[in-house]
Amino acid sequence: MSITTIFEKGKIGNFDYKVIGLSMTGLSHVKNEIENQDSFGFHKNSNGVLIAVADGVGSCVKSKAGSIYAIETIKTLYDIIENGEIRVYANTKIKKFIISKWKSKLEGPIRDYSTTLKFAIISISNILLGGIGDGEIFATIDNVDYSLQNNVEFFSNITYSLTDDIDEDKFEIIKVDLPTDFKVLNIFIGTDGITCELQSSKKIEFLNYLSKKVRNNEDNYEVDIINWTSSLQEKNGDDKTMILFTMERST
Amino acid sequence: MGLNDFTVKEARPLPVLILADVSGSMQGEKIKLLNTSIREMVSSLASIDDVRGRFQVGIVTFGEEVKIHQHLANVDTIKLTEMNAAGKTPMGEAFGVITSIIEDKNQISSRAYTPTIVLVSDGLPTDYYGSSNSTVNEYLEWEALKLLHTSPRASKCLRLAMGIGTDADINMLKAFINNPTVPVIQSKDATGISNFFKWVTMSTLSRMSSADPNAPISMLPVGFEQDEIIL
Repeated sequence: MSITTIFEKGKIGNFDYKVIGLSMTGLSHVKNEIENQDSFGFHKNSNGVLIAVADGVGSCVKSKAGSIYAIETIKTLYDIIENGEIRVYANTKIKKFIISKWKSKLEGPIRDYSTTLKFAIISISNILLGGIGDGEIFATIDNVDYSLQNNVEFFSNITYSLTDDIDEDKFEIIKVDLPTDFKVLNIFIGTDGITCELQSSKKIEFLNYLSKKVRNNEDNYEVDIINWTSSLQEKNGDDKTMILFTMERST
Repeated sequence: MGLNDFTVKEARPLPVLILADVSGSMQGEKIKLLNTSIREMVSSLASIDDVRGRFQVGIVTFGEEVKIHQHLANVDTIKLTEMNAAGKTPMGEAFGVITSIIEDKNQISSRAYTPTIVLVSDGLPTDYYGSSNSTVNEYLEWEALKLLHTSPRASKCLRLAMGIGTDADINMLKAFINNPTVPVIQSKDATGISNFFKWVTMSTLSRMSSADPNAPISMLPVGFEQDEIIL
């Protein structure tokens, strides 16, 4: 079983942050000798960090490339926002940039590259959360919930996505200004292979529990996360990808 | 407290929804075999223990009235009661009921595998006011079918259909399926009901045991004459 991981820590202004990311090939793909079609990314610049997850649509032949291009597109967006070419509050412009940039990378039928995309751009003054398709973003600022939770309208294998005829109304983007005195920010992005298996009423509790475990460097938290994700293989055959970002004001 | 305390305990549901014609013409051998075949299907599905999913079955009947004969439930909890045949064939109204069930996320969660809808009928819908010789395309214009085919979730479901006897309207059943790769089964008499539900059972089991339970059915119907399988 193939697993890719990211473990990072650093500082943004007066805050210490940690990032843990993991992508695990689902059993349905292992059995059929198909590569993991999810992609994920973490990127840091002088203003903050970007985290993103994309889940290539299983039935599309180039969806792995589609999910890689989606992550690359978000990295480009991040650089452009840093350069000031696009303002962080320009939702429509951001949406249009992502769609056109992603499409510009593709050769052949666009539908073959269909992928979901979820991302968070984090600075010390605001966060930008967005994406299209299933999978979810949970976010809390000092325990206040700002999540972009499940917009799945169909069943476990059917989703909106970046594709040839994108339904822009289903592409959500929200900007949240961070209070000047906030202490803790937690963000979790997961593909539906993970988020579908979480109890609806416990998602925020899960985010805060996991974030605390990572922030406090509790024993073997990396192994716990890998083992827990592996245990979800018994529940569904999807690829499973997650990124957790947690940031706390330095003492 | 550990990470497992936040995960859903139950496996994903794979719902099978049966639309059963219980009109007066189904009296006798047909309704008897329909009851037996569905009971056998539920029993077969209940005997499977697969951690990745749990089968659910629900039944909507249309005859003297349209009603939910069996609410969608896990197969190991179902205690089926006999269906009785009487009345007309208000199939269109039944399509409305089944669509409502599928669109209701409280009844079928988004976590579920794509449901299968199974239609069994031996006649013409009595709430369809077009010609009795309607083409597939004409049936596709019927509001009741359009609702099923255009509703966001119901339109994504896999649909299987069986016509019993020569009075069953094959064009209507083809329009119901609305997928040229999935055949209509037309049995000459009631004896085909049992084979049809064996096929539904095997297809459903096959989905759950495949690498991707959401993948379309690839099993061809078995136990039928060639002229009973209509593409």
